[in-house]
Amino acid sequence: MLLLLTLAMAIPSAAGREAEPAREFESRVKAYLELRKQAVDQAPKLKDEATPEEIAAHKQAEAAAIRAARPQARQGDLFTPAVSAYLKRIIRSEMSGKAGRPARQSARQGNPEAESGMNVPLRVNAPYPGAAPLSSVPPTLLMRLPELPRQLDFRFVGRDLILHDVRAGLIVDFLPNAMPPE
Amino acid sequence: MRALRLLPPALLLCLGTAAAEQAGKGTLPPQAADSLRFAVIGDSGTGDRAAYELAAQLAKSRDIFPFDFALMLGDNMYGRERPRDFEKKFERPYKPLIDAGVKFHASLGNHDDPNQVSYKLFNMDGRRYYSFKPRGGARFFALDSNYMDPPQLEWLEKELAASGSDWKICFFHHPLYSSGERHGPSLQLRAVLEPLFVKHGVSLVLSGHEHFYERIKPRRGIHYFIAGSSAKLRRNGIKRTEITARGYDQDRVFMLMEIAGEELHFQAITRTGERIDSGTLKRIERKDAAVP
Repeated sequence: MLLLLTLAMAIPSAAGREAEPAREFESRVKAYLELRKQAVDQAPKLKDEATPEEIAAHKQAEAAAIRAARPQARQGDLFTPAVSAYLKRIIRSEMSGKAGRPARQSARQGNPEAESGMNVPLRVNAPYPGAAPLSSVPPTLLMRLPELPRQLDFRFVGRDLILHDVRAGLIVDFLPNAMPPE
Repeated sequence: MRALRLLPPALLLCLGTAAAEQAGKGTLPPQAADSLRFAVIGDSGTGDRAAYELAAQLAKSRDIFPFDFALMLGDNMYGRERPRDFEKKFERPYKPLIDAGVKFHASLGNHDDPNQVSYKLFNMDGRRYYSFKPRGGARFFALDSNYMDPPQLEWLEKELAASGSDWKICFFHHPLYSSGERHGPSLQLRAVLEPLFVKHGVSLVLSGHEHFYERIKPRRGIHYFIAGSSAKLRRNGIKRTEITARGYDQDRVFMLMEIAGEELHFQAITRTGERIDSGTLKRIERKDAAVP
């Protein structure tokens, strides 16, 4: 009995296993946001009623400032191995098999590879191509993935998941083969 | 009108459907003097010749059917979005309407840079989802169907619940119902949005994404339209199904809508000015919601 109890205490529950990488991801997102805030604070604010010229200039300025603030950024900075495994578990449980077909169909909408045959090279700090569409992300998946601040979103490129800086249009990190194969 | 109000709800639904189906030549004038009138365009941002011709036809229609604002159902800008693209793909084709004071209210499609929310002529005020109430008994809810995350769903539920408007109208890019061969319905979105629409009395839903025109038979008391061929066109893209009330996939289309009390008058017009669908729909009371 004592042995069983000791074993039970030694093996973390499923919820406990997920809490750790969730916390890790949250703290890395927070660190990115702080760095981002410092970097873009210098740039002039964008009005909510801007001209196309102001929008383009602002996007470029933000992207340049963020890139300069994290010149050594590389794949896995936010999607660490533990975070990657955690995100993949969520994505695969939501998108695998017959039950996951509507979610896979949803993620194909706007997916540059699936929909337009466009090749989007994935590099951290690289701009998401201006001419490429953005994939939908299944609502049921968004209910299970960690909630992101408004400056960031998740998107799919082919089967890969990217962490996307919404206003700067930058690829912040990416996770290859996150989505299960068809 | 008075006689119509006395009919049982299910019969009203049938009449609503039967009163449509009118095709013909040219734009129809408004049905009522003090009605709320607006235009609808979707997938309009190519900047090609067809887009210009459609925009010119829309401006021409406004002489007959004066409207105050236009809804944009996403894919407002295809390809790159440099300042000159805004000019070529939106500002130049729609200049007569912009100059005449027509206000455009945009929602985001999968081809749209999220920074469009700050573009002054799209009137999104920096938000990817928002609502507005022009006048009369209607409130419009623009949603970002690319990224329907929990904060957006919470916002929508709260906004719908707080709205006392008779006509609650949602517009966004991806259709919940569609007979399209290429994309088809967005089942995931339907699973999260339709219960909210039914619960809070949404009457009308407008979407694009599919590059054709389709009027769907009312689903759970809600009228659905697809108007995603205002520049892009998928010829023969509709595989007609039992949900189609009227479909058209042979040319570019915009819509004109008019709300007068409990009635909504609609017309779908091609870039050459042909009216390919029109009619009158009744706002379906919530007690009708069980009718499929």
